[in-house]
Amino acid sequence: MRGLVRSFGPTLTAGFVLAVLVWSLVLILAPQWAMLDRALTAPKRALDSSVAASLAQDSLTCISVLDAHAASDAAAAGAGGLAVPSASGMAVPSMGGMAVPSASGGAARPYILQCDRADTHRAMVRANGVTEHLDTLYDLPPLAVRDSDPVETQKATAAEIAALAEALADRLRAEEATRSPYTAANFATLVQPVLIPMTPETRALEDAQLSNRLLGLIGLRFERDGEIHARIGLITLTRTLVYAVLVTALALLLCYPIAYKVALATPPERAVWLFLGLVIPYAIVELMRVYAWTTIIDTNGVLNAVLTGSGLVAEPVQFKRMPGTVFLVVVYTYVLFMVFPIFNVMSTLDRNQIEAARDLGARAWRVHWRIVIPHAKPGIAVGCIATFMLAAGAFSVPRIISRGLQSEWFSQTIYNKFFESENSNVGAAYSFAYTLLCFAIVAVFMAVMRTRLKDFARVQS
Amino acid sequence: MRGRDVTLDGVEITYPNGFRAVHRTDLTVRAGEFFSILGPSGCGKTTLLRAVSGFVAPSRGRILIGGEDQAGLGPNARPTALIFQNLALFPLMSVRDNVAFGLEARGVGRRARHARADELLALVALADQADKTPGALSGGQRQRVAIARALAVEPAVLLLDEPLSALDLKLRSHMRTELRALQQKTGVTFIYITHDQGEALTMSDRIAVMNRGRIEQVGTGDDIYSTPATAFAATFVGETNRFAGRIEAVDGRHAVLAGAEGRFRARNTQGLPVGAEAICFVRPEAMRTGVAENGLGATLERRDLEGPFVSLHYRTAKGTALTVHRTNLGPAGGAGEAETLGFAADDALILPAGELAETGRELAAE
Amino acid sequence: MRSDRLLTAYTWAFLGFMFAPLLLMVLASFNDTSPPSVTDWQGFTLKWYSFFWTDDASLRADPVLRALDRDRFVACLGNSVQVAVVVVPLALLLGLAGAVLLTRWQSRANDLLWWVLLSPMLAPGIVLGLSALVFWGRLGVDAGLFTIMMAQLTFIAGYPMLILMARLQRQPVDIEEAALDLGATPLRVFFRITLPFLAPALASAAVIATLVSFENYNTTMFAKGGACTLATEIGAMARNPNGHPPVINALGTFIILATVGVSVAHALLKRREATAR
Repeated sequence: MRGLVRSFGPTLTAGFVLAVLVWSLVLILAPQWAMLDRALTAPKRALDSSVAASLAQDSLTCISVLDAHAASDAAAAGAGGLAVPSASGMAVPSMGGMAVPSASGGAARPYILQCDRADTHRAMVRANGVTEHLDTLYDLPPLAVRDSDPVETQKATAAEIAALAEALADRLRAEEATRSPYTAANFATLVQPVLIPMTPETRALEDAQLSNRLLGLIGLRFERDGEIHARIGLITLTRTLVYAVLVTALALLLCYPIAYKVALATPPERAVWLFLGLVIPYAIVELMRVYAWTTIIDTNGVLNAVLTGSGLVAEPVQFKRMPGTVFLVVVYTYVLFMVFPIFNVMSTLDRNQIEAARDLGARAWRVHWRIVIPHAKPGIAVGCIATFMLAAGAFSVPRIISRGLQSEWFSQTIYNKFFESENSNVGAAYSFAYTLLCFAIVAVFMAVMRTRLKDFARVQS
Repeated sequence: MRGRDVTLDGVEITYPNGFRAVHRTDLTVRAGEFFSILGPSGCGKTTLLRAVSGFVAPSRGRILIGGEDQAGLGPNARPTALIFQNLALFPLMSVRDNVAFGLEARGVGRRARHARADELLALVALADQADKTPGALSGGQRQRVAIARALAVEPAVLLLDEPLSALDLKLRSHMRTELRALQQKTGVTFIYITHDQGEALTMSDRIAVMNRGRIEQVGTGDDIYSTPATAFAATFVGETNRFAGRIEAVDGRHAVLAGAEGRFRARNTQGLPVGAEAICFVRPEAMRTGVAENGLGATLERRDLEGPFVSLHYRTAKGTALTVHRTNLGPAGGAGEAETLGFAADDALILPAGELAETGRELAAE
Repeated sequence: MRSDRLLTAYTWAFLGFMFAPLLLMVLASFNDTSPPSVTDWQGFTLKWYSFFWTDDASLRADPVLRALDRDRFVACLGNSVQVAVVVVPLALLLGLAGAVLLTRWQSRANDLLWWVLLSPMLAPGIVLGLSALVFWGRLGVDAGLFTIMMAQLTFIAGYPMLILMARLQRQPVDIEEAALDLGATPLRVFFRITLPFLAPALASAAVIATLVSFENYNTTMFAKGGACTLATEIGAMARNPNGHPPVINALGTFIILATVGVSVAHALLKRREATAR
């Protein structure tokens, strides 16, 4: 730090340090910490106090709906009133036709969801199929609003339940405030198996698939009590990572010769143009490159026109539904991130070394194995890391190409958890776990390749 | 411009990793002097120079320039200017802006500083190159720009860190003359760092020989060449033949050393007592053929023509290699000839055994 | 030499693979049919281009274009510009600070700093968007342009950092020391010596940061809330399962032309810089 102050002066040094602190703490670390915090807290609605509170809410709503019902009954003389939607929005509008007459037939009121839910024997939100109930867990009397009772009794019971539940909710909230709010349950949902209901026919068909057999081998799909269970989250995760590794390997195979050609096997003045030929597609907006593929793979796109025109297939192929298509477009989109790091390092190799090796009688493969590849290793490592991370985090490609017509990439799963099922705690856990896993893979890869992070700077420009 | 004296008072420099680059050093460089610090690479001479210029703070001791303590002053506040080994010219500025930069930093107006820069460029004979960028100049020209740039801030002390090492041989010897002339013209104190004994000997008023973070000897070129104070100084500066042994007798200013090759009488400048382990040093040009004093027999192995003189390589029966320099005028001897070599006692020196600069000559030739 | 010819052929095939989809997209932008197609040629037209400037009346007259919301599109483009205007200068600033600290700060914490500052470039884009959303949401900032900016800045600053670092490492420390020694204050050294030396790298970093900011989809998608940018809007149009009128193709052609222009200019600039050195 003293050296920095001497070179840049106290003012500038303070500015630089401040900027880096803001960047690393506010922009990088704090958001990840917030994610971790979110991932480690149970979703609010899963808390016991929330269950009690919602019971109180339901009971109160039940009373007011009963009141409204009685009023409209009096006014419209049995025309069938409209239930007032509860504040939580969970009330099912009870239209006259949908009213379920009670089995006993004693009471003259339609089915009211909230009254039905006004029951102290309410199930708690628990993971892994554990069943617990509010009344047994917290010693509440078993009370419920029965539609066979007179309306006034129903209202009285509901009020009693509401009072009990509210008191309990307050108590639990106070307890929860002092207790550590952290739980690993959100992370557990990632590995949790889910029952997949199937008819015997589809099951026979599914069981025969190679991918499913592989999943069975690694314990991601198994049979329990005669039913098929699958750890869906882990399956998506594994599949995405396998794809990402394959994309990286394929990109390396595709790019190595290109980088070699442009960096070492072309006279420099012509290589400039080849280089530009690589830069242009690299610089074009990623989405445009993804979108460009839709013209090709659409049901009435170029590929199908060629296939049907030549008589190879009778019906257009639904490429959108094939995982291979997403894979191919991911390769297309990110392949150039492999070319440039390798190219940049390769072009620092003295061409004379290659000629010297040739002169000493080495064949082409030996020249590559002993001279070019060892020199280009940092570039290869950086290219692999960049491509792997981009492929693993790919979101635009599966989103645009598959248009929801095939199984998700893990990034889409995270998106759905966050925005579609509104379970951001689980989404945060997924996202955090995925990031950690990706970084762990990269760290292992770097250790194996003996690359250092500093190679990233060396490989640039 | 007036030079000022530089005094190192018990200066010691230790790096954060614990390595002591400069051991306790006391040294005074006189005002207006051309002072060289000569030593092999890694001996601490550059560190010492950077301490004087203010880039490195001494761990102990004081540095005084013109009697003023420089502690706490940064490089930009000291009356010194440093010429870097790679010159460190600003690549994006014109030559004129390079030279004027120091004045610009001192808030001198554009017209005045350009006028001063042009004057200095004229002094170093570069007046017609002022608008070029340093990249467009030759090595020698860049060298002179660096000097002009340093002189522009009117330093009392100019510090030069091996500035000639990047030049080719011919240009180097030319620049030596120029530097010396410039120093005398300006009267600025020059402290010149080098590992090249030729540079140090030709240019300097005085030289300090440095080894492993210590200054071993300070003196004029003649002093150091003819009367080195340590075995290192004797071997690092110039070529020398040596005979190891023990002091057998002392008489006045001379002593007799007895070793495997026989007995040799030579000057005993350090006053070594009888019984001390010592080495007798003889310069190749002091070795003669056919001299009885300090004689020993040897066979000529090889004769290298060096131009103005010849280098004759002998070997004694016991295997000691000897080098003899002779003018190129006499008859050429053939390999295998046996000869008796000798030297005058006043031309040789007995010093305590110590570290030798084994590759002194090779280093200097780099 | 047979292998050389094989390599050349492969290179051309690879370039073909890279360019073919783009050329087809451009071709479809001139075909008078919607959704875009190159197999079903209905005649040459420029109307997909004219969508961007034609007057409202003729827009409403066209049966296909009528369905599109041009104002929304323009608003999204404006958002993209706004985001880039904020993100790019800040990214240059953070990148410069990061580059200086990473190259010049000799410390044991240096390795850690490397990991921290480079991690956003490595992390999946979606994660950055989400974490910005969660973090700023906690501070009471709703998702929108601000969260987009913050999320983008987190990783875009990495590009200038790497580029400037490469350049900083090439500047010998001696040059700064020489200027200091000549009496310049550190501040003056920075503005007079270091910054001009970094200028070409800063220019290239600005170009790259702008491109990245404009094209970013993955991070922006997650942080945007109700806002839109050009990229998310294109994404939304492209995702339409029934296809979308070829105005996207027309826009794509624009983008390709602009990219080619910028790339060529950038390449020439870099070459000039290389020869000047």
